[in-house]
Amino acid sequence: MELTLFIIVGGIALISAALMLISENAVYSALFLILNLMCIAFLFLMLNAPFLAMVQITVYAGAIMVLFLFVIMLLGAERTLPTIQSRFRWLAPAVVIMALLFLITVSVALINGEIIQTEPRKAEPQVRVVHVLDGVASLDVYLDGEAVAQDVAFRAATDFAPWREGEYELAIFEAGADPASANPLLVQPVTIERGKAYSLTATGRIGAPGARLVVAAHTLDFSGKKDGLRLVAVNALPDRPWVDVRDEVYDEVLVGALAYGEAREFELSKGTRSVALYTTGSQRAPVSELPEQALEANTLVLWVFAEQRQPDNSFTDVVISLQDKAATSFGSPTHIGQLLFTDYVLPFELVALLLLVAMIGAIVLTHESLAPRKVIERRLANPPPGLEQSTPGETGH
Amino acid sequence: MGSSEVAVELYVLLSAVLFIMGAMGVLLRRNAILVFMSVELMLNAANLALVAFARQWASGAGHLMVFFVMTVAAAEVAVGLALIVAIFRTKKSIDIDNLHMFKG
Amino acid sequence: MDNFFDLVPLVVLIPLAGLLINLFAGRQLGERGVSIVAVGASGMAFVIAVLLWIAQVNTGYKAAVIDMPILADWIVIPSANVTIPWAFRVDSLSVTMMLAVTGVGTLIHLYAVGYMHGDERFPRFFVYMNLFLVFMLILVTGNNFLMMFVGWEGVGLCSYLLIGFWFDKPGGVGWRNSDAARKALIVNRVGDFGLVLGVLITFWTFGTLDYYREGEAPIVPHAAAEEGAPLFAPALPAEEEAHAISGPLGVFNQAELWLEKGGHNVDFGMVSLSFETTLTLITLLFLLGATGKSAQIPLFVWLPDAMAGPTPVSALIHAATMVTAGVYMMVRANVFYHAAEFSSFVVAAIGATTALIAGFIALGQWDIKRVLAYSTISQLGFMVAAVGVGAYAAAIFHLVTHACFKALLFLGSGSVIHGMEHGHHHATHGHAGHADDEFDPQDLRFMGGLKERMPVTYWTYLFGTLAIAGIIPFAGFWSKDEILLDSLKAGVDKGLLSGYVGFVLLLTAAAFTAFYMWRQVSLIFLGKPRHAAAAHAEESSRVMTVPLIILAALSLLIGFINVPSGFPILGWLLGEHQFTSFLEHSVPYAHAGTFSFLLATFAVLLALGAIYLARSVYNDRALAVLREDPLALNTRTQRAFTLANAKLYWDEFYFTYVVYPYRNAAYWLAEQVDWRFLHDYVHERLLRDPFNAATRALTWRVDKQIIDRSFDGLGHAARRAASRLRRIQTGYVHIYAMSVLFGALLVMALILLPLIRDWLGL
Repeated sequence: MELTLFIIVGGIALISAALMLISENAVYSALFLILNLMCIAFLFLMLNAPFLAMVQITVYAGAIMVLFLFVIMLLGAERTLPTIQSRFRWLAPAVVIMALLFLITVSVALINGEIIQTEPRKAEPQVRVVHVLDGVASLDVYLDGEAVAQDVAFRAATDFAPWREGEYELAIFEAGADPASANPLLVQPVTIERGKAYSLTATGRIGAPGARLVVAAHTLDFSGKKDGLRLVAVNALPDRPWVDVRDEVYDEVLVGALAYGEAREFELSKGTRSVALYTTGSQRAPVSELPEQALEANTLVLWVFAEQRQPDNSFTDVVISLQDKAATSFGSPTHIGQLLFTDYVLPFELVALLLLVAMIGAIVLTHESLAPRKVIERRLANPPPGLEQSTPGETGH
Repeated sequence: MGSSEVAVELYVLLSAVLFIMGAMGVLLRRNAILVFMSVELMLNAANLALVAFARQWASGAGHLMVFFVMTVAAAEVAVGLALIVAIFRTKKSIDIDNLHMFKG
Repeated sequence: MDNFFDLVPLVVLIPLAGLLINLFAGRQLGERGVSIVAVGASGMAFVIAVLLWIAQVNTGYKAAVIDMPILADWIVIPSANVTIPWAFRVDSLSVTMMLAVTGVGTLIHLYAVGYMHGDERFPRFFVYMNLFLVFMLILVTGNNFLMMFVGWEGVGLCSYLLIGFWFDKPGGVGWRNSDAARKALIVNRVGDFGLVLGVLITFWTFGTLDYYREGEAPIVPHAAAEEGAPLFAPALPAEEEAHAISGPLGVFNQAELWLEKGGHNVDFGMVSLSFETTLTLITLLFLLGATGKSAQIPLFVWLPDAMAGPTPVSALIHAATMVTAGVYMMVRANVFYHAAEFSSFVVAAIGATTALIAGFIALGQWDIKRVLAYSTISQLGFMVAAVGVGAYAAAIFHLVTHACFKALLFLGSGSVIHGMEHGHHHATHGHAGHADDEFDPQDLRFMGGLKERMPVTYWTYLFGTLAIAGIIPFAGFWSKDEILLDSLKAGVDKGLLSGYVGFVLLLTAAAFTAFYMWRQVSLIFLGKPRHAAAAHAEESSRVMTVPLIILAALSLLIGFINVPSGFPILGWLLGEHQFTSFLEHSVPYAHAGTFSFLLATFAVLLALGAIYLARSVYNDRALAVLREDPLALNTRTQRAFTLANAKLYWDEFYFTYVVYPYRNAAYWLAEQVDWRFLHDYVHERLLRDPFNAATRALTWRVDKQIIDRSFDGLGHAARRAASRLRRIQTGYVHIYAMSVLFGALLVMALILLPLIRDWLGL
């Protein structure tokens, strides 16, 4: 399906490019180019670059081509020159030959370049925070001193944010605390790898020995099942050391013997499931229940079985269920924006400066001079003999 | 995410063909504005290749490069068209075969 | 009294101070001040000489060697064992010389004050005179041969300066004067060459140049030498003998020791000579020096020409002192001459011959000073002959007496010349007519009858004449007689041929002396004046006549210091051989002569006879109209007179056979070696042309062709390349674009080269 789409759109792009080159009317050429740009925007979308597709349409097709059309109209150049031949007759054959050579080279490179064999690099890791730590109203989470999320409320989860891979020290503070000076509530080293999406959870009751950090990782890869999805279940109940996750309908154990503080990943196909949590080995009364969960394909699902303190200091069991799209933020404006404003600030600023300069340049170049330019005659101070002196009009600038 | 059906080589091939067409347009056409438009076509072809590879390597830097290219292209178009307008004022023609005052 | 000896540096330093004062402040002092300073310096030197003489007498005639404070280590070269200190010697010989020099010198200084009055370079004259005194005194007071040489050269320099003093006289006279000065210097130089060689050989032989060291006494006692006793009588204790032989002895004692030992050889590197031969060599070379300075054959030719200088100069330098330096030197080296018999023979031969020939030439001269010059040469010949026959004391005695009467004669002639000039000025009232261009105040033919006009000059001149002729009791009789006696004795007693021959020659010369001196007296003073100038001549001023009188008195009396033994009455009255005894203490081989009545009488008669002959030739009738000399008119003596007048063509001979060949050789050498070879060939062809060729090669070939071309070539190449390359810039944009794309394609292909190669299967 994708291939078909690609072929169609690619074909349209090629045809419109050819027509642009051939057509005699400059306006027609411009319009064909616009069509070409649209096709390319579509291809961008297919390539997981929604932001760029938008920018392409807005800036390129919308602004630049409009400028082109303005100038064409201004100069009255819709009637292009009759022949396509240039002054140099040998030009066309030479160009054709060069084009063929270029194509051949590219083809050779593509075929023998072994791009397919190479493993595509795994996706950038994503990180989010889920707060189920009892005893703290809201948290700040830091990885090596950098804030992942701040002011996360109980039972709340942040969105995925891309992160660099590496080994970090995960530290959880009370919200508002200064990570440099205050003592963290919990500290744990954690490794962030590519191709995974991490959900950082703190479970248990603060002050009690069971409080710990749980790192639940989703693998960002669906090469296994078609229409599959990845599930991670986290046991965040300090009183239940071993639990099972059961599918009620099909009466099968999805995740068995899930220890306290453990997060396990498993794959499922899409569908609607009713899931309940039992203590391992017993099928009497479920600890928690998740009825009628509609699981879609290509999603990341996170189930955190936690408890919440009630006003009368008793705990009820809660389940936090999160579903995220797999190809979540790659290519999204958020992603682009984050990269732009952290790693690539300097080029961004420079390009902005460039735009400014271009604008001024364009204004200056097309500006009609206020004072008519005088004809500057140069006078030679020591003319060699025999050289005529042109009569000076006005000397001086 | 994950492998798509369309291999990245196809994108690159398409990008190469578009690039070639743009190059031929630059070299063969005599209307200055058409030359410019061919240049834009070449830039777009390059953008396509960049994005394809960005997905292949799952890198956001590719997208950013495309972003910058677009921005620079915009600046360039602005200045270039301003130049063409200025030249047109004096020479009353935009046939590039007539623009050889810088002949060495 | 001993410490009077320490005054001896002053005898040199006081005239030095005088000359420096006159040199720097002469103009300011004026004639009077200058003359006071000069004469005073000379007089004080004389006083010190007298003091030294007194000291000598009182300390038993011991010789003293005085170091001068500053120059005590004058030449010291430790690595070559050379030590020549600047030390003064005070012994009888040097005191004698000092007295003669300063005594006569002071009188002449005084005379010169009057003679040079009005000369515009008056101070300079006295500077030179004092300088002369300084050098002469260094000569006679030096304790080693090198100091003597310093004085020797210095007096030569002063003679040059003083002879040519009137170098700026107009009309060619100035040139004549400076020519004479140069002749004196150059001829002396020839003699100095011999002296220097002699000194060097002396140094090489003995390792030192000192006569005698401090405290050293001459080895040979006088008495033993006279009586034929063995020469060697050790003056040192026996145990010091071995050490003393090669130890720090003076030159003469070393010589004595080696002569006694015998068999000593002197190694000159290539040859090795016996000591006797070396002594002969040394003495002959010293003789060469003496012939230059003391105007003997063959180097006497400068003395007559030196009369071009002012008369005081002639008197002091060329009569009394400088010319006696040679005689002094030979007497000082009497040890050498006594041992080298062959050299003594040569010395005597030269001296006697010179005396005769010079006397002969003096007969034919018309210039008053020329006559006296040749007379000086002749008398010097007497002294040198005396040295040659071993009569060292006689030589010095004659030196002293000759100084007195020759100075007298010269000063007298100066007075005559002055008078003649005065008279000429008077006679023509300052307007010299054309006919008077040939007037020469010095020519005898214009004089005459000055006896009445200048009586003091006449009488003093007469005294001098009688003294030089050897008429008793004048000084010349005693000294000349002693020489004649000693030469005869040398022939008779020792069988020396030189003695006989010398005697005959000297006797003849004595006759000549008397003859020409009376001729001169006749022509100047007797008869009638032959020219207006003589008729108007006037006596000179007192400052000139007083020295004349003093010298005349000396000429009469000074002979009595050395009355020979055996002379009746006077010998008992005045003491016999006072002077010789005095000299013996420093001149080991000085011996006194006994009086021979026969010889003395014969000599006096011979002199009187010569005077009578002169008187008869130059009688009143001849003197009245003197155009030609009577001798020239007489056919028998005509040839002789012409020869004498022409100075025996001596100068012409020298010019033809020495000077002109030498000069032509010098011209030829200059032309060939210096100009043609050095300049033309070496400088121009060998040095300049290759150099020019090299620079031209560098300039043209390297600089212009290679370097300029390469750099210009670079520029041209750049321009040509640029003019070709610029065609790339067609101005067409799409051409540029194509080239860009082409380049990009190339780069791409380059990067993908491995892939392409795989694909092509290469």
